Formats: sequence, C-alpha cells, structure tokens
Amino acid sequence: MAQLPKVDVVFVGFGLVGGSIANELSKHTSLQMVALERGPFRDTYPDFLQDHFDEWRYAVQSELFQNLARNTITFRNNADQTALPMREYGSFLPGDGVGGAMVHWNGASWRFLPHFFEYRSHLENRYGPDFLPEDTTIQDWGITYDELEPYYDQYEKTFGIAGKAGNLRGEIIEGGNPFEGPRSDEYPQPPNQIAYGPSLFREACEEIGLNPFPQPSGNSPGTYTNPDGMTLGACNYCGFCERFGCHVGAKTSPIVMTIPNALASGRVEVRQFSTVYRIDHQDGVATGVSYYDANGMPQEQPADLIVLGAWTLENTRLMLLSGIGEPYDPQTGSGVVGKNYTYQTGGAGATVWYTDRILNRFMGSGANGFAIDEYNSDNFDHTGLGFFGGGNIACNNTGARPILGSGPLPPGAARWGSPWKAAVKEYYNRSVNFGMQGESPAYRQHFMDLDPTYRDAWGDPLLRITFNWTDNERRMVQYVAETALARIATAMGGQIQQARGVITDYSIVPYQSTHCQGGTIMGADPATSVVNKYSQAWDVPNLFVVGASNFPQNAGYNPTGTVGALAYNTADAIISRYLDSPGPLA
Amino acid sequence: MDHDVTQSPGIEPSEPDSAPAEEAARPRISNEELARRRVNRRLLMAASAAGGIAVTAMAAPGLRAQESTPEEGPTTPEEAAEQVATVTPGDAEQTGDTGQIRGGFQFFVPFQAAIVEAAAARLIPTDDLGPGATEAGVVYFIDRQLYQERTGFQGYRGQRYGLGPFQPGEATQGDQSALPLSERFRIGILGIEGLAQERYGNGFVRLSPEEQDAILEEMDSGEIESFGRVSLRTSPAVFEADESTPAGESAITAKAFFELLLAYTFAGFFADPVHGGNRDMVGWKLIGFPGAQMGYGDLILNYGVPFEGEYRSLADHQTAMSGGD
Ligand SMILES: Cc1cc2nc3c(=O)[nH]c(=O)nc-3n(C[C@H](O)[C@H](O)[C@H](O)COP(=O)(O)OP(=O)(O)OC[C@H]3O[C@@H](n4cnc5c(N)ncnc54)[C@H](O)[C@@H]3O)c2cc1C
Repeated sequence: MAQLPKVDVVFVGFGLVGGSIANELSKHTSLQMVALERGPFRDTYPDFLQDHFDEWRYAVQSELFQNLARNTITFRNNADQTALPMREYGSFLPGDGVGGAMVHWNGASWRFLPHFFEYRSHLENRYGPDFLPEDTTIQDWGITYDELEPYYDQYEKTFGIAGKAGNLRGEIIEGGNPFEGPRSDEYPQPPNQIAYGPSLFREACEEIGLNPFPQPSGNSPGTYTNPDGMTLGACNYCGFCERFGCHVGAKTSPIVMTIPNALASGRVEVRQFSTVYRIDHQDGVATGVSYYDANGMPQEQPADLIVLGAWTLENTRLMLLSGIGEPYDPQTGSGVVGKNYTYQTGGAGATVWYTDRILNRFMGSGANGFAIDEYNSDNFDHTGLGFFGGGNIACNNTGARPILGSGPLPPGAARWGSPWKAAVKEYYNRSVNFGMQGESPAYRQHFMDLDPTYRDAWGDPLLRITFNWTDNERRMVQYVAETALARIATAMGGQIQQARGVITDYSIVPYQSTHCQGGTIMGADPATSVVNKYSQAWDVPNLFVVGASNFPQNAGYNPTGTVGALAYNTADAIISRYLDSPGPLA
Repeated sequence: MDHDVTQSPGIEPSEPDSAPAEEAARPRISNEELARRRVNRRLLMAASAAGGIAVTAMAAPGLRAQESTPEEGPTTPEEAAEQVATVTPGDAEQTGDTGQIRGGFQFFVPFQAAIVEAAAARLIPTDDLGPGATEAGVVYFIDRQLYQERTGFQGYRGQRYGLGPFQPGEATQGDQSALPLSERFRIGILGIEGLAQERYGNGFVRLSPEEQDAILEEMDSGEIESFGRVSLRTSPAVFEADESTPAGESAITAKAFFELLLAYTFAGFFADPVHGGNRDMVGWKLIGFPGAQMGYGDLILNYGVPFEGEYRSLADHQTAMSGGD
C-alpha cells in the first residue's frame, strides 16, 4: 500500500462538519490539510443550475445519496430478529459528495432548547428520580446551551440562516419562539416570504392561543454575504429543495458558504471518490487513515490530526472497524461505541383539505413555514401523562413535486383508476400538511454494532442498527395528535381534516427523515461517552469525531443547527487550545 | 388439437427454438403460432395446477413462448417486420385487433409491453378528465427504466444493495428480493396473464376494462397467494407450476407486483418527459403542476391566485440554459 506524504490534518468526509472546521483552520492557522470525500464534487454551476428540476432522477432514483450497492446498513427492530440489509432507500438518505447532505437538505435550522442539554438532570429534578422509564439511557451532554451559544451564532452567521429571534439576551421578543434559549444576536437574515398553506396554519394557531413563529430557514430570503465574504443567492421558491441541489445557490450549504473559502487558502486539498475504511492508530495516537482512492487502490494518508465528520452512521462504523473505544454491549450496558442510537419520532401529522381555494403548493422552499413549540420537549407539564418528551410542530410548504407529492388525498380516496384520477385532480393543490418532529429518547436496547453477516463492496462488515419505537413515543405521538394537531386542524377550517397519531413499529421502508443520531455520544465521563465536550475522542486525543453521532439523544427538532454548533465548538477548541498543547482537552 | 404437440408436459419438445419433426410436416402452422399456443396453454395449466394463480415463469433466455405472440404468423418479411411493431398478445381473432401498441422498446418484447400498457391504462385510465397512462407513454418510461437497470442494477430508489445472503424478513425491514426489477417485471407480467387466463380464459389485453380491473383489484387485495413462482419441471420449455414449490420461493407476490406496477405507472405519468413518459406533460396538466419553473419569486405571496405561466419541462429548461432559447 502506498504511504502518502504526511499532512497536518486529514478530514474524513467533507460535509458540514469537515467543511466548517477546514474553513476555520484555513483562516486561523497555516496547517496543510487533506479532505477525503467518498463522493464527487457538484457545484451550483453547472450541475444544479442546468439540471436540478428532475424529480425522478434526484428524488426517487437518489442521484445524490450514498450508493447502496457499495455500502448500506442492516436493520432489525429488536435483538431477537435477524438484521437484514436496507437494499433500497428508505427511511433516511445519507449524503455523498463534497458538501455532504446539506447540498440536498431542506434547510430547517434549529437550536436545541437549553434544558435539553441537561435532559436527564432536568427531568429527574422536575418529576423525581422514578419518573423516567427504566430502560431509557438518556443522559446529559457534558456541555450546556450557554457554552454552545456562541457557536450556534457563528454557524448561523456563516450560513446566513433566516428567522426571527424569540429571546434576545433574555428578553422575550414577540413574533419569535418564546421557548428558545437566550440568543446573543438576532438571526442574520429576516424570515422568508411564506406560502399560503403555512399562513393558514399560523392564523389557526394564533386563534387558539398558541405562539406561531417563522420556521428558521437555510433558504435565503435575499442575497446575503457572510463574514468570510461568501454569498448566498436569493431564493425564488421553485419548490425543489429536499433531495435536490439548489440551482441558484440560495440554499445554504458548505459548497456555497464554507468550502470555496477553505479552498481559496490553497492549503486544503479535497480528494473526491476517496472512501476511508480505517483510522490507523497506535498506543492511543491516531497516525493517519487508510482509504480507497478513485481508482479503488488502497492508500495510507498519515496525519497529525484527524477529524471524523462522515455523519452518524459512518462515524460510528469507522470507530468500530478501527477498534477505537469499547463497543457497546446492550446485555451488560458496558462499552460506549454504538450506544444510544436515536432517530426522529414521526407519525403525528395532520392534513386539511380546502375545496374552496387553491394553495399553490408547488411554490415553496425546504423550510418555508411556521412552527410552534408549546408541545416540544419539556415545554409542557408531563405530570400524569405517561410519557416524557414532545416535539416541534411545523407547517412548511416544501414544494409538491408530483411523483412523491401528489397526495395526500382525503381519507377513503381511491388509490388508482378513474376515481383516483378525479381525487388527485381535485385535491393536489388543495391540501395543507403539518406535523410533529418528535423527540427520540435513547434506550438500552437501541444501538449500532457491526453486522455479523453482511459486508460492503470491499468486504468490511456493514453497520447494524437495532431500533424501535417504545410505548413512551407511542403515547407521545397520540397525545400530541389529539391535543394539538386535531385542535389546530379544526381551527384551520377547510372541508376535510385528518389528524394521525398512531405508531406501531419503526420501519426502514418509508422516508421519514435523515436524522440519525448517537453512536459516538458526548459526555463528561469516559465510561458513558465516546467523546468529551469538544468532540475529542477520550481514547485518542488527536482524533475529533464530530456530528449528530455526538447527540446522546435526539431533540424534537431537525439536527443540523446543533451539528453546526458542535463543529464550530470543535474548531475553536482546536485553534485556541489544542494546537498550543496537543493532548486531552477535558 | 391434433396438431398440438404440447398436449402433455411429458412430451413437450425441449428445444423451443427449433420446430420438432412433426411440426415440420404441418407447414400450415408456423413456429410462432405454435409458440403462442404454448404460452397460453402453459399459463393456463400453470394457473390450474396450483389450484389458484400460480404462474411459473422462467429466466432461461430465448424462450420463444415468452417473447412472441402474434396471432397469425407473418408470411412475408414485410409482414414480420410490421408485426414486430404491432404485435398483440392473446387471440386477435376473437376480439379484433385491440391491444396494439407502437413499438420502440428497449427491454420489453411487445407481448410484455402490451400487458403493461393495458394494466397501466386501468391504473390511470383515459377518461373524461383527459389523457391517462396510455397517452403519457407510461409503458415506454417503464421500459426504459428496466433496460437501464440491466447496466446499473438500479432499484426503484436508486443503486440497490445486491449482495446476499437473501432471506425474507419483517415488513419493517424492507424489500429483500434477490431478483432485479426487470426480472420481477417479467415474472409479474406473466402472473397477470396467467390470472387473466385462469379467470376468463383469455389474454389480459383482451379482457373488458371491468375484467381487467377485477384482476388488478384481486392483486391489490393481497389475497392471491401463489403468483410468479420460478420453478421449472422437466425442461425449460415446460411452463408449469410445481406444486411442491415452497411458498417462500415465490419470486414476487401478486401484491408486491401490483405495488411495483403502481409506483412505476405513477412515476411514468408524473416524471419529467425527459424519461420517456408524461408525454406532453399530460400528468402535470391533470393536477396543475407547472414543472421546471426557474422560480415563482413574489408570486408565492399571491395567496390563492392560480399560476398562469406555461408548463415547462426539463428539456425546455436545458435548452434555455444552453443558450439555445
Ligand atoms: C433529504 C434531506 C433533507 C434534510 N433536511 C434537513 C433539514 O431541513 N434540517 C436539518 O436540520 N437537517 C436536514 N438534513 C440533515 C442534514 O443534511 C445533516 O444533518 C447534515 O448534513 C450533517 O452534516 P455532517 O457534516 O455531519 O454530515 P454530511 O453533511 O452528510 O457529510 C458527511 C460526508 O462524509 C462523507 N463520507 C461518509 N463516509 C465516508 C467515508 N467512509 N470516507 C469518505 N467520506 C465519507 C459523505 O459522503 C458526506 O459527504 C437533511 C438531510 C437529507 C438527506
């Protein structure tokens, strides 16, 4: 195997995490860096400008996602089942290519609530030590909201997030989210122009005494230039966000806001089509990484510092394949790598159909709407409810592309034939959907490990996921559907309303969200976490493992804002502390 | 039936492409005619042998029975050439020349294409609301996808993990088929045809719309247990259900094939015309989806006001982007 010349830093995966940290290091240090990215580089021009309106190619045939023929996961609901490969997409859509999954994300950009970072302590303080289900393994993060706040701010300014503050330095601001943690500053951009459907949701929420606020969004309402001089275009609401690149550079992502600036330094080299398969280490020190290059040849890239930003699933798999950290054992509860796999609890949704108006559902963007937070996390009293947790409720007009988005049709509508045709013609442009992004608590029996049977294209074991909903989430979904969604739907009027609130077993089949968390969780104690609060591996101090894999459990929000904050937290720790004296930071 | 050499499976000629000696002595019956009779009869036998709907199909290449079905064998090369473009499964003498479709397929043989087109036309009918799957060219869209799969093993949702071991799992674990989509289509098409023969003694494309709907409904209901088995007995030319085939060997269930057909029919109706379906954007026009618009800008705030712009396809967009418009 060829050993390449040593570099200062190597990035495994070049998405939000890799691009953000590389950009900061390029500005504040003179380090030489190499980024290894398994996918290709695609840019606004010419790739997305000239082609992106192709639902079949991008949304259904999964043009931009990880190639499952080479690497997928295996899945089972519980340890008594045999895990089988996810042969087709699927519940989630891992990104592939320079810029990572933000290239084709929607843009819903959240901060987590302050109490969520100390969730176990908070719930036990408020409801007593016996309140939580016995099998839940939720834990505190080892970092607080206040510690992360500057990095949320840095992420939002770098990426030009649009929204309305609800809490500025402790003062509650009307029109924003009254539940959010104190912000040091307003959002860098004002909210988007918001489509008709969500505006009906907002009116209904207000009517019943809730506090709707604009969905914080990575779809740029105007042109915006960030502190590095990188510019976002203005969104024109074409309705092709989720699963598509942006044709006008108006959806914020690393290929627009961070990576070009990092490359401009001349000290960052990005190698496309480079798939890392091991982190090489000896005596508690990472020495470099091994990867297959674009020709399929194995290469060894030595480096002093390694940043693993390959997203939840590959972060965890690479740790397990490389033998770093003790693998989690659900029988004994010992070990940490692979622990606390969580997802996003869907299933609480509602639809209102209007026969008296059209809604232009195809005009929109990935994060174009309003939200409420009354039913999120511990924002409401859970005494006597039989569950903990909740979720954000949002109504977004993401664009209704017809193959996957011609529905939903009213209950009882035919699935095919002339009656279906009549129904889809009548209702395609007359429905408004909204729902909860439910929290996903961690449990002892939900985890990731290496599959004993199935292999990737190179012969390495696939990652195995063992996961299901529990009664806690089932009750949560039902409660929110009944108490909140049905009420809002009724207030919205319309001719037909439907609220859905029953979940049984988690299924890998329908797309739900690309929100997979855990596996390399952060914490204050090496016995119960893989990384410290700087996302630095406890066992290998020159290895930083960053991303949603650090979340000990998932909140009732999309994850990316918090991933961004963690990335800037790590970048700052490296620049201002680690480089001066390399070694454990906590 | 005296000329039918396929009377008993045991004496079925094993070499489907070469006419047996007996046949050569009866010049009035063409090879194609024999092949056609064989497929219908076998499908029928298959259906009854399993006491239900089991249809065995096969992956052996070159099986004429699967591939050709013109009612009358062509007598001149010109006729033969024409029939390639307009062949019709089933018995045209009984019902006239319905079911003709235009040629131009990369994957399907016309026998298969005609069945897919007929089924798609029931899933999205041509009716007083306007064009349906037929006008949209759904069958050409599906044909192209299946042909492309041959080079890339693409599934409905992209590059598919195709390594074993294969085993059926829970519904929550997703599709575990070991067969590529194109083979599932081949088997499923014969499943539909077998069902038509079993229920009505006629080819699917010859059935009335009500009869076709009844078959699709039966598939959709999930009640049909054996459908699309793959076992062969005695020789590749014997197209018969093997009752000993374990249920788990079913290559694709009637319900699964129905869902596949429905998903592909919708996709062929709604995908951008660049992929061969949704011709003249008829799918989009039905529901009012304007297509590849650069954007809507301030129109997003015109609540409830219909969009008046022209429908726009990816081809229109690409032309504009390349400076040719
Ligand atoms: C369709 C879709 C919509 C989404 N919408 C939202 C949303 O609205 N709001 C929200 O908060 N989040 C959303 N997300 C999630 C969001 O995109 C991710 O949270 C975010 O991209 C995570 O950043 P990351 O840097 O951790 O990983 P990524 O951005 O995925 O980057 C990881 C990179 O590592 C590469 N990689 C992986 N393994 C290897 C390897 N072995 N060797 C080399 N390279 C490797 C990958 O190819 C990838 O480019 C969405 C995701 C998808 C797919």
